[in-house]
Amino acid sequence: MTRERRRTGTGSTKPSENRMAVDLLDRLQVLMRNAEVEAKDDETTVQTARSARSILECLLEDNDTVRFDVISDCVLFQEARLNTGSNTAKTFDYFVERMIASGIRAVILDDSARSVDIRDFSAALTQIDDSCRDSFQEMKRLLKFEKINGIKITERKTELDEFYERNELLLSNREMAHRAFLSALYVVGQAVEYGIAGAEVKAREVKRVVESVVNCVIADKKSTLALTHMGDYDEHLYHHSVNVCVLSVALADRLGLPKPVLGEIGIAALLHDIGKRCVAPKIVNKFEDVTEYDWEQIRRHPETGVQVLAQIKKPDKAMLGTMVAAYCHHMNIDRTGYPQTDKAIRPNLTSRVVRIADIYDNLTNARSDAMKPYSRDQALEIIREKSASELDPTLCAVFADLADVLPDTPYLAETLQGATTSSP
Amino acid sequence: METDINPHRTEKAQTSKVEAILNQIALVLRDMRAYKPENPEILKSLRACLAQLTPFLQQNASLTLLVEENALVYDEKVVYSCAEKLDSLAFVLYRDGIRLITFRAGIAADEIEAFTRAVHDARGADPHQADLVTMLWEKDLTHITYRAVDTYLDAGARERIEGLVNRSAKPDLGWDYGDVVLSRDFFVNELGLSPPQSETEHGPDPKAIGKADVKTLVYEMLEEDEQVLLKRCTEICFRIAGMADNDEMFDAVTAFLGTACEWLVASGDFSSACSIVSGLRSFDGATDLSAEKRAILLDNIGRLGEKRRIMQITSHFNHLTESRVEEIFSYLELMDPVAVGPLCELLAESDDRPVRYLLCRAISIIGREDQERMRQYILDSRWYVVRNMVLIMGMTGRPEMIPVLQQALTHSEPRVRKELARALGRIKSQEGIEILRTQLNDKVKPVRSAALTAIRDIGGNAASSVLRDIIKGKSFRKKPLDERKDMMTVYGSLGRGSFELLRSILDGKVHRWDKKTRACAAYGLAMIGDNESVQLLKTCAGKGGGPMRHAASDALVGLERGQDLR
Repeated sequence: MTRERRRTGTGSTKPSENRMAVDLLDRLQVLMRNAEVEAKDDETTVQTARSARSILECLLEDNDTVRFDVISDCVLFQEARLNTGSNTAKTFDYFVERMIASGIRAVILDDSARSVDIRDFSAALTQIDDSCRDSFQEMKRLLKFEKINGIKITERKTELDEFYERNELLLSNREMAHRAFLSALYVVGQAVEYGIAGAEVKAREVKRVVESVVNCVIADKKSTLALTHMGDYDEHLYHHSVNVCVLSVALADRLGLPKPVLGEIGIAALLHDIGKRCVAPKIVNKFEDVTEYDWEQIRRHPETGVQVLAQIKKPDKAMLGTMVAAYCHHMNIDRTGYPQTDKAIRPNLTSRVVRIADIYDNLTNARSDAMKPYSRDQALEIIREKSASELDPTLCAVFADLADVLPDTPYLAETLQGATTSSP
Repeated sequence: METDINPHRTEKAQTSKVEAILNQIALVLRDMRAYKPENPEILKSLRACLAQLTPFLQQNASLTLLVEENALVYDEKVVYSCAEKLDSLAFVLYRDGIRLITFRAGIAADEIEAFTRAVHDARGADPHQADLVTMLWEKDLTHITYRAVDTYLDAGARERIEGLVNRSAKPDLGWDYGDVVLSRDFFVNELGLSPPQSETEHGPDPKAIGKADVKTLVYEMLEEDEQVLLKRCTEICFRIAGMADNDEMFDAVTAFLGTACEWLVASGDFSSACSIVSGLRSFDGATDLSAEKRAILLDNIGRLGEKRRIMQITSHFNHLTESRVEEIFSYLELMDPVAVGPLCELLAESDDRPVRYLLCRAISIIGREDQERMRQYILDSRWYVVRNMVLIMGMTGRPEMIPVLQQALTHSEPRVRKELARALGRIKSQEGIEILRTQLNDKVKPVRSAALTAIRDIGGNAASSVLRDIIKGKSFRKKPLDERKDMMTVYGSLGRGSFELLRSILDGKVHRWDKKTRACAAYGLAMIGDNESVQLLKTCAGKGGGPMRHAASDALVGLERGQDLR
């Protein structure tokens, strides 16, 4: 796997390799700590070095070399961010600290590294102190002096390092998803604000942010979909829009649609409720005592959505699709829903995808404290029931297929939150 | 700096190769700016680019470049730089947020072309609509990848998002949301909770989802192209416009329908564009349309005639077929008089005769009620613009245009004055006769000839009266013989009322001493063609000699053969 592929997050190391890399680093840390208090030939140290060597051998089955980078405070394995895993809760602060103190950017091990080399390298790492004028050169001198084979090092702070750091390119899938989600929130908020001011929606921003969302959904559905429960009652409309965007893209991706089409569906989903900008928030967020007047106001939002989107001076395919979805996302395939139209106007696939995502998000995300959201399973059950008449049955089935990646936040909120708060 | 594994380990030769590759890409971009897309020069430079890139990638697997504002960096060395931002490959990439770009082994010519085409298009793209990142993203290139930062957000927005990222690094779920990824195993093994239900309980068994059903959905999506979506949007907007209870909404959707027209015209679908304009005009006929909405509607229809939109049509002027001409005409005739100006400009620039005729027809329909708009073009400094406008006013057939046309009477260009006579002939109004009387004395013969034809076309008492006065006048004999003959012929064609004067001339009661003028009267009588005239001609042909006998015989032959005697 090439360097850039890993960085973009579109590819990553295998989970099993990741676990072995964590174990190898763990052994290195043990060796480093032992070196500070034990003799080189201490039995525990020898055993740990052998263990490290055997892990290295496993890793070298599929790789020519094994590389660990330290950038800022994170560790990269084979140039992809190392996932330490929540259940192992391992940290490599000591390794990171010593690598930085030794002026090392990366350590590369190959098959010629014996267990004694690993042991001696770990010991060398602990020997460089702050008084060294050129810690990296000192480290190199030490490696030469100890005759350590099969382990090579590179210096920290290359131009490339600075470049990556400066441009925030070293983000994990999870971090990228988080950033994309927040950017989408911001952009959809702006789109609604512009809409209120009667200005044109900034199509470029919307496209760019949806591209990020699509990339994140493709790279890591679970992490991205997990964000759909990051609700905020004050900005429910924005959160709902972004949630529907993420859910729609995930559903469309499961259909096997190509990336540009996912982008178009994502844009349509992100702006599907843009017409609600004309409805008072207190009406939008009402879930009980809804009067006929309230309904009338809410039922107008598809038309208002078209009104806002119609102001785009150069609408392209994505924006046309968005306009159709904004108008049709409350239409059912059995001709119920709203707005009621003649036969000519039927919900297209984008609208039907958005409709399912919209219903799911409305069911699983509360608009206020007083509202109890449905669990994932309850919501999927409701969607399954509706698939008999109102919703596209094939799409519903494909959506249900997403169950393994859809988060179940009420489940988390009611059980896990209590568990974590009671823990020390 | 150690040791072995710098991925950009290079020697000078490698750097030179990269420089050569980037220079070649810059050359492709230059060719794309200079030539039309199908030009073979572009293909040639693309091939040269591939020829340099392929061996490099075969050797190195990939080529990763750092993008700086004015330079591209490879292995910490600047391998491309260009101070002129508009020409700079680096700047185009940098401006839209690309900070790292990688070419991978296996790259094909079409991918390089798609990449360079995107860079080329991005230079001229509307910055509010799309940028290079979006263009590359949509192309979804397999062997060219990139990393981009959010430059599309302004500094304030970036700062705000940064704040949100830091504030909500761990969203308030009571849990690190990232670990939800591991939640299934974690719930069961670590927390001892019951496992989530299996997905098959949520609905139809996903494994049982028919592949054919999914395929149908995918095809539905892929077949939904821009034209289909535009049609849907048009239907939606017409529906909303018909039900809109506020002016803003009505304005937005009718304006969009105008935009849809623009799109359709650009793509050459004039019949759909016609349907939209006709649909908009049908609102105008609705009795319940408020005055405000009517004003909005007319304004939006009027905008279809804006110069920018009219100029779009020119892209369809190449290889015009007859049916295409009619399609364009059907669309143009639905425009508002506002379109007259841009159409006239277009007309002035056009060298193609069928195009000019098409535009004249269209303008004559659109502007027929608006002589004031046409008046300004009658005073234009370009003679050909004036001539076109005179022609168009003639095509309208409206007598109201005559006062405007009169301004061309003294135009210095004979071709304008000639066109004026023809225009008056087309309008066929007695009001034009006085102008034509003047033109019969024009110093240029084709103008006089056209004026005479126009008088014949108009006919009636006024025409007869004008010609009678001229023919009877003493100066008539000074006119060239062919003109005298033409005038008599036309006079005769005006009907039986001309008989007495023509007979008098033939008999020598008028112009007695001018036999040639008298002979011309024979042609006029032939044009009357009734028994009395024919008898008179036969008598004349059977006696005497000289020009009168010859003319009478000639006229009789012409009459028998149905010839135009002029």
